[in-house]
Amino acid sequence: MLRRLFYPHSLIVTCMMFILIWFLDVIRINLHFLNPFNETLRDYEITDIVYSRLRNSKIKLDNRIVLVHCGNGHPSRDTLRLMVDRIVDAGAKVLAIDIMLSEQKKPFVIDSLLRESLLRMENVVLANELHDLADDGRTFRSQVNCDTFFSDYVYTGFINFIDHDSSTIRLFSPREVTTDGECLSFAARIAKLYDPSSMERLFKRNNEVEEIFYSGNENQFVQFGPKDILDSTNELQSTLSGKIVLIGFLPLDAWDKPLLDRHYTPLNARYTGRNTPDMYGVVIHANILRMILDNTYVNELPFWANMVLTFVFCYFNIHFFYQIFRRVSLPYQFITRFLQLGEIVLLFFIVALLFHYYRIKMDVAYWITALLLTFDAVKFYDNGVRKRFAFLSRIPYALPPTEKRPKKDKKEIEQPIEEAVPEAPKSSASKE
Amino acid sequence: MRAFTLAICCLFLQQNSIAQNEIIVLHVSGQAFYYERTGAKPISMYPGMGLALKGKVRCKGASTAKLLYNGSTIIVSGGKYRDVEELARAAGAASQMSFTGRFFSFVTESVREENSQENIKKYHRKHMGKTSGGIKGYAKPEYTLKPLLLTAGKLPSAQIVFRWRDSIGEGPYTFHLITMDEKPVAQLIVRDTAITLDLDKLALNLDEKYSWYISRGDTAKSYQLIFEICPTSVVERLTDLTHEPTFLEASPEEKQLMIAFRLEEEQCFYDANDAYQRLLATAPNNLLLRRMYAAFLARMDMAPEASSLLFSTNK
Repeated sequence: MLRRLFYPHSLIVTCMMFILIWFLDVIRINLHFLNPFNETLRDYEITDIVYSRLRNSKIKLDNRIVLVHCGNGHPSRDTLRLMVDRIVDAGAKVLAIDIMLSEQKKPFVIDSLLRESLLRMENVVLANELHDLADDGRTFRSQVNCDTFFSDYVYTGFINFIDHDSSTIRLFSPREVTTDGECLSFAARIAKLYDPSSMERLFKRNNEVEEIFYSGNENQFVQFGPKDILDSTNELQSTLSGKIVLIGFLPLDAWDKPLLDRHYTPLNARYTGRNTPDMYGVVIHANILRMILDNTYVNELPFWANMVLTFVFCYFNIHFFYQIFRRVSLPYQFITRFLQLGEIVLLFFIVALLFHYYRIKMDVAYWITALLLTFDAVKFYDNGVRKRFAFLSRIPYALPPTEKRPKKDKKEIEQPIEEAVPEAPKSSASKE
Repeated sequence: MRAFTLAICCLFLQQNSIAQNEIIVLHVSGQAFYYERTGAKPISMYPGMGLALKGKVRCKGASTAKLLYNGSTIIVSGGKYRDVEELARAAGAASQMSFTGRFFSFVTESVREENSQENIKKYHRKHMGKTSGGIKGYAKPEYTLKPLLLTAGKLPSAQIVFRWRDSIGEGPYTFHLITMDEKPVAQLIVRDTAITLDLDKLALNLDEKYSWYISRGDTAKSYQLIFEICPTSVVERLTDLTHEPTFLEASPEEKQLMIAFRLEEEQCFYDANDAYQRLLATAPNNLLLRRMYAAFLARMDMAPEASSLLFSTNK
């Protein structure tokens, strides 16, 4: 079986191709500044199309998380206190406030009342920010934007996203080390309070950063406005009891949709080029939270597995092209160009399918590079290299099949060995 | 093996046969109400609330409600009563393509390249209505004639006086009554700044919206005011406050004021104006009443009338 799959020339071309890809990979770094598309495509990933165009538009409502808009402009701490009271009365399981209560505001009595309201509940998470990275590049020296007047009494979680130059928010760090010890991210802290087993699953993965799996926009959660919460005629218990309530900036009613705390996500309808940010920070936290609770992490293939798969794909693709080249030399170019196009669409389909159904992320950049180079590599090898080196010409295209032993007759096998031995000539014996 | 296959079939059938029996309210902007049946007491809608399919919903004024049914969102707006079941049916009818369908739709769409640079250049006018640079100002009014807002919103099926402000210029005014798709219903040449029409006599449909505007000569024109005919019985039901404890405890004058305010909230401006005038006729020296009516007139963009009312109050 293995002999049938082994084609020496295809294997040689594959090895040549890998050397070429490695070479291109090295010089790509040096030519980075020349790439005119680099700036546009810098923040693009193939899975963005899956999110923005191929996602199922059917919404699955999350019955564990409720979003509450804190009010436009700078939310008043007094209003926040009233909202907290209503939410605590409704029996929420975890209350998370995605508003940085950075310093005490005058009159201080309002902050005291707010703290009293927060202390009415056990599971309260406030937002803070990690700041001032140490020289070792691993430890943050300070946690800021949550006054100790509050943070000394309730849980906190950092709300930093991993973002470079206003790029798409794809990753999040579940925990970080500070000079005060380890601290959890906002979403991780909430998940730990709501469902500790979900955090065990997250930590078992042992990843420093996790890719965020966006299950949808704000429509997958019930959204309250400040008015809905404060209206005493609304019966909140049925909606909020035993749930996670996230208070944050979510001005969905505002006609101008303010850009404050709005970020780019892969769900953006325009996945390349210039566009406007599409998701408020609190909705991103809710998506991370949902991912942790549902255990729907994005998994990436390890590098070695990716390389093995690339090698296998490349090898069979080269063999396929080689066969076409040997059999139909003249229309080879025409056929292979169409095949390349078809294979690229097929590859994209497979990548999209794996991500959509199993959240498996594959890096097919090498696959596509190999695919694009196959045509020329086969032609160059067969017309140039193989003819130049005589020893290569002596190697057959396929290994010769192994010689089959002739089958013995059934009768022959059943025959006793003694009978098979030729008898000694009787004549000589008689002579003796 | 047979039992296993049967179990899988049952599971599949169950998955497909279970339809969501209620609609979830995702978000409410403003005020929206749910009625368990026609004529039932309105229940104020709030996020997370479940609505049974056999009911009706309605939004107040410019309020909107976002509902979720079977994975699709439904936006409800407007003061009309909407059947929840009908909304659910409409949401269910939206096609749900499979992953493969979506993929090939995306691929073929990319191949077609509808928004290529060449196409944009060729059909550039098609793309010119989407964006413009600048904001709306007040230096050069587009509409030089000004109709009064009282005859917008919900009008009774009776004699209605359509009014507008006088403007500098010559020649008579032309009153246009048109449908929403701009088909003419009536066109009258008027010398005055008002015209009385008996809407009961005109062939107007109850479920349809109409608009009216004024023009003078070739250039002067007013913006369109949209209205719909609302029968008195419906208006009475919309403004029924008998289930409100505060209404029951109020004095007769206060009750009338509350009704007038409710009429305005329900966009029955013409009726609200009548209600205020009736109240004022009974108590012409009531300062609170005068101020409230003046505030109403100001909201109706009738500042001169409002100030004259306040001025006569001060006297």
